[in-house]
This record gives sequence, C-alpha cells and structure tokens, in this order.
Amino acid sequence: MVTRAQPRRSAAAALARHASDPAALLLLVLLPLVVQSGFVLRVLSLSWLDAILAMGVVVSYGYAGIPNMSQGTLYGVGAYAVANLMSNSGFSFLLSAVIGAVIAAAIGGLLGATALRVRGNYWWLVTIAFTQVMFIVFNSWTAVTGGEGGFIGIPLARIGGMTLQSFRSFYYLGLAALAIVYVVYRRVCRSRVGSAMIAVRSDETAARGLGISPGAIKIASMVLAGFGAGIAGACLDSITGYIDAQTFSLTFSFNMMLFAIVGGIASLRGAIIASVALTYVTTEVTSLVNYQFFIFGGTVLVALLVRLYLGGRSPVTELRRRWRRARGAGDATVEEPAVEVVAE
Amino acid sequence: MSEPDGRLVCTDVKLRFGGIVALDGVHMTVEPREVVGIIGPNGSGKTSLINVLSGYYRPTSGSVVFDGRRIDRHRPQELRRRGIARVFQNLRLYNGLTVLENMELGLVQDMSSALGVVRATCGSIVGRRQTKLRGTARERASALLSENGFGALAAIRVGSLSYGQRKELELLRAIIEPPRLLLLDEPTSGVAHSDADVIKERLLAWQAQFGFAVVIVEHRLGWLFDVAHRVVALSSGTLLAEGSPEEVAADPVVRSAYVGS
Repeated sequence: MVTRAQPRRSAAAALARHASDPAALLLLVLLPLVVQSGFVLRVLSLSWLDAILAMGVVVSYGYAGIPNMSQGTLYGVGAYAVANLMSNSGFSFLLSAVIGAVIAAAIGGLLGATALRVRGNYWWLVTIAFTQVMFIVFNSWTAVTGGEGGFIGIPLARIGGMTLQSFRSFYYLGLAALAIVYVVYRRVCRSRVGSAMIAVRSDETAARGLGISPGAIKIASMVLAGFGAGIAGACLDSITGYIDAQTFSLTFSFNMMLFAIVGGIASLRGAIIASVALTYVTTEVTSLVNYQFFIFGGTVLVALLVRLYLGGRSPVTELRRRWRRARGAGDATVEEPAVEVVAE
Repeated sequence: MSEPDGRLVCTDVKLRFGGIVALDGVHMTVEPREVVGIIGPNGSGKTSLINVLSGYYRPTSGSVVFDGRRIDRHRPQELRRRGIARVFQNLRLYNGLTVLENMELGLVQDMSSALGVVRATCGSIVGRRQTKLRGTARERASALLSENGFGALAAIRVGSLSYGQRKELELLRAIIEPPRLLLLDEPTSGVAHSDADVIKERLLAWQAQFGFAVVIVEHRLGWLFDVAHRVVALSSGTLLAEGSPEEVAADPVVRSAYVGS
C-alpha cells in the first residue's frame, strides 16, 4: 500500500477548512450594505427560512433516512403557535419563538414515533397524509388559525427594545435564525449522534447490534427537524405579519424535499445554497413563477445526472479531488495512490 | 434472579415460526471465558439460536439468563450495553463510512435508549468541541486499528477493503468496547484459508486479552475445533451432542446428521 506523503497545508486551504462558514456569514451580513432593494431583501429573508426547512429535511431524511414530507406542516405549527402567543397572550417574540420551536419539535417527535410502526415507502405516505390532514386543520380551526382567511395582524417582533419593521431587519432576523439552526444541526450531524443516524439509515439491524436504538434516533431526527421549522415559523410571522394555510401546503413541503435533494440530501450547506438559489430565481424573476415546478424538476434531474456522471460523488467533492490531484501532480515527490490514504 | 456469575444459561428454549419449529427445547450453558462452537447441518437452528441469544428473536418459551438476569425479552441494543456483542454472517459494515468511523460506531452504545439519545444530542449541541467522539475513545479506536494492521487504512472507506479485511474489521468493531460474550455467526464464511487463519489468531489473542466468552457458529469444522473449548451439535432445533471437539467429532450421531448415513 502506498502511503501518500502529507501534502503541505496551505494557508488558503486552512482558511477554507476553518473559516468558510464565518466568512460566508460575514459576506451575508454585509450584503444589505450593497443591496438596497427592499424586494430583494425580503425574498432573501424568506429564502433563509426555506433553507432552515430544507436543512431539517437533510437531518431527518439525509441522515436518519426518514422521508419527511411534513416540513411545511411543522413550519405551520410553529408559525401559528407563535402568532397566537404574540397576538392573544402578549408574549414577547423571543419567548414565543422558543415555545413555538418546542411545540413544533414535539409534533415532529410524535410524527417520528409513527416511523417506528411503518417502514420504507409507507413513511412517505404517512407524512403526506399528516400534511394533508394538518392542511385541513389549518384551514378549518378558525379560532386558532384564522381559517381560510388566515391569521391577520401578527404584532411586529421586538428584540432588545428594537422593533423589526424594515426589510433589512427582516433579512437579519432570517439570517440569524439560519445561522443558529445551522450551528445546531452541524454540531449534531458531526457528532456521534450524526454517525448513529447514518448507521440507522444504512442498516438498522446492524445499528441495533451496535447498541443504537433506531427508534430513539428516528424520533430525535424529527424533533430536530421540527425545532428548526418552529424557529422558521416564528420568523415568518415577523416578516409577513400574516399567515394562511396555503403557505403550509403539501406543495411547499415537496419543495423543501426538492431543495434538500438538489443540495445533495446529506449536505447542510448544499441545502442552503439550493434553497436560496431556487427560491431567489423563481421569485425574483416573476415571469418564471409559473414555471417554478419545471425549473425545480429540471434542476433535480440535472443534479441527479451530474451525480450519476461523477459516479455518485457531489460536484464539490469531485472538484476538490481534482484540485488535490492537480496539486499532487505538480509535486514530483508525491506518488498518487490508487486509494487515497491519509496517515493517522 | 440468581447471582451475577458471567454465565449464559439457556433453559428449554423453543422458537416457532407458525408451524415451523426452529428451536425445540435447547439447553445450553456457556461459562465465562469459554469458547463454545455450535455446529449442525443447514436448517438445524444455529443462526436462530444466535438470534435468540442476541435479542433479535424472542423465544416462544424457555429462558435465557446471562450474568444472573433473564435477557430473553431484551432488545439487541440493550444486550449490547449489557456486554453481548454479535457479528453477523453477512458483512454489516457501513461501506460509505471510513474504517475509523465504522470503528467509532462500535463505541456509541450509550444511545441504546431514548434518554441516552437525548443526552447525546444535547451534549453534541452544547458541548465545547464536537468531534465524532471524545478524545480517549477515538484514541482507543485508532490504537486498536494500528495494533491490528489497519492503522494506515483508517481514513479510507470500508468499501475499498478486501472481503477478508472487512470480515476482520467487523470482528474488531465488535470488540472495540470489549464484550463479556461475543456471538459469531460464521466468521470465516467466504474468506480464503489464509484469511481464516488470520481471523483465528486474532480471535484467540483478543479472547485471551479481554477474557470474554465466545459462541461461534461455523461450518469450517477444522477451524472451529482449533478454537473451541467445547462444541454443541444441533439438528432440527434440538441438541444432538455436546462435549470436547474430539468427542463431538467422533460421535456417530453427529456424523450421521452431517452425512446422512
């Protein structure tokens, strides 16, 4: 076995490895200084919320293997809970957001518990059925959701004595929520819980033999998905001031699944990029709204074909691999192994 | 409940699937540090017995007691926590993960319950620094890999290894958190003779080092007789013979069950 000499780690590589997330966040924080359009900022602030939801799909489906077609519904649960707490109970935005996230997480956990009783494709049906039933509930339970007329007059969010009412503040609210949820999901996915999720998704029987409870892991993944959706729902209330059941339809959940798939199903960053890009393009170019599904479907097809062409690797992984290979080829002392080996 | 003694005691274990009798009143005892081989023709109930011992099947009747506690109603993940590890006949490694990551999965038994998962999840969110595992456990996994010739392979995906290496790695994963009882279902199936010898040497070394008991189902009788202290022969779900490898090998009833004459 040929062991490759450890390549010299350049400062740029180290920066890319450790500072890419903070750097991206910094750029996004500075973006409103350049982009002044209220419409663009509003679209972006809503796309941050879509990104949160798509990341929830990554955790529950990409990691734990639970097809989650209820992300929009959990979003709605959080949004309606927060709207009621702020409007009727006079709770502050932050407290409402926390409670809303807990409620959505609990509903997600209950939904996850049903995963223990069904398997494989039936789980798609369970979540689709749940979403449809909840859509009817959202539309009919007038006292809580406002019924078909929607929930009107949600108070503006106040954080630290500051009222959020500008497009820029909405942008930052959504971005802050995205950053928080991203950090939480990333930590979980990179921990042994993330490894246990992969184990359960890949081979449940073996996972049990290793001492992992598949049921608890599945429920945990749905709780996490619900938690993010609840936070996104709270932000939606603040940004739009009005919510109705149409927002939380099956179509919306389907879109979140598409975003996650286009982003590479087990990639949090991919889900963010795909959500923002697709939401932005189809909303910004208003003439494309009618072709939304054509664009989404086409993107999924292209993403799958690219993966197929690359032998299952993501384009990012492939580019990184080729870049490393090119660097290795430039150094005559480095012999490229058939299988990449990194010395421990 | 009897005293904790590290023994495994099966009493009159029966297992039925509808009208099919897989195990029909099996009595068996495994002492601490003992290596017991289970042999028998195809369909004799060997794997069913392993499945009962590891919690994948619940016996229809009878009892299984390990270390003074009944375990026949426990789930596999709970039994792994109690010190019973199992290796399957077919490879059950995660091909998409690296060698080290697969090893680390042998160390996550604190997630065998809902409370354990909640604790681990909260810990991963609020923990100061989240690597795959805490330092010592990762070091232990790396050390064990190095000791067994996998050190240079730690970062490559398991799918790239040879079949024999994967078999060996799966064994290694089962003992990374040293069990008290190791259940092996055909550990040498599909591997070359040379690899089978390597597995034998490693198994005996680990058994001597960690002192666990082993129950092995194996068709390669010569290999098994070299390893086992005692052999149990099954046929049609019942115990046919029991004794030292030499005694069982010479038993005319066992010979007849194998060759049908």
